[in-house]
Amino acid sequence: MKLVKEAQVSEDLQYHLEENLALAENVFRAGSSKYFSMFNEVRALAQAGAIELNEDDSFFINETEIGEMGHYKGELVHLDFPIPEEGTLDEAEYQGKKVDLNKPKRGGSKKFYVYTRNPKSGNVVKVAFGAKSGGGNLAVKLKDPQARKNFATRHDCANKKDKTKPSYWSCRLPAYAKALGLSQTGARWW
Amino acid sequence: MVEFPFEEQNVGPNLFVRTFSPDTDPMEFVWHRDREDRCVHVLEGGGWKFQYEDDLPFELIKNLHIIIPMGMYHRVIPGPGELEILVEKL
Repeated sequence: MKLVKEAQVSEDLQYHLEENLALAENVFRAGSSKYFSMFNEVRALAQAGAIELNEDDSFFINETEIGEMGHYKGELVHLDFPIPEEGTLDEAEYQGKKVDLNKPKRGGSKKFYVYTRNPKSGNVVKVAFGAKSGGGNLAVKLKDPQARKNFATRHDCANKKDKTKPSYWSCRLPAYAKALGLSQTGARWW
Repeated sequence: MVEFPFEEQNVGPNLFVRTFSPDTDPMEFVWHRDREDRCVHVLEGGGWKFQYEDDLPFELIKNLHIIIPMGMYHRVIPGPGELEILVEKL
């Protein structure tokens, strides 16, 4: 992304611009307040025609509401941000179990859920999706362009437009992969 | 068996020297939290960076002291050289 008009930007966005970081490579921890602020700042600049986005960044800004919040069953939730079912990892302990330092749990279930707005009703819904096979397998598939292409063809990803369906999110998981610690890919779908 | 993305030597009560290799997969260095406050002294920076939650990364320069409060998310970002730090678990 790059500025195409003079605009006042935050120190955080300036860092992204200087380091040539895409939104998918958000320097802040996925799920942190500044992580979401970055999307909101870029969205405002895009709406003002002040920033040029690449295809991946354009997906986040124009196709999702990431950075926005909505109410789901009385709780304020982040929209269009996939959350691993296994939650976050601490250094020493996760849900009462000892876990490895600095090592994401691999090979376990890789199921996700996401809160998204149903465009017809305006209500926020929770959509569960993810690979039935293990996380290690998923990571391998994410890194393999041929596997991504096969998945996209098999699941007709180009025509999956309904954000309230698991298939939409499964197809677009690679866009979030880096933030979620799954792989380095920035491809929009499999 | 716990595997860490660094070598560690216990050099005193609650004192550890940790050495990080630039050859380690950067994906190993995930955001995480610790269960106690930590004081970190940089012995060799190696061009590595450190980042607290909701702050921008900064370079770990030789002799820099940082405090990592218990429960605060943080991470290291690999550099071209070897990073060596002295960690005190408070």
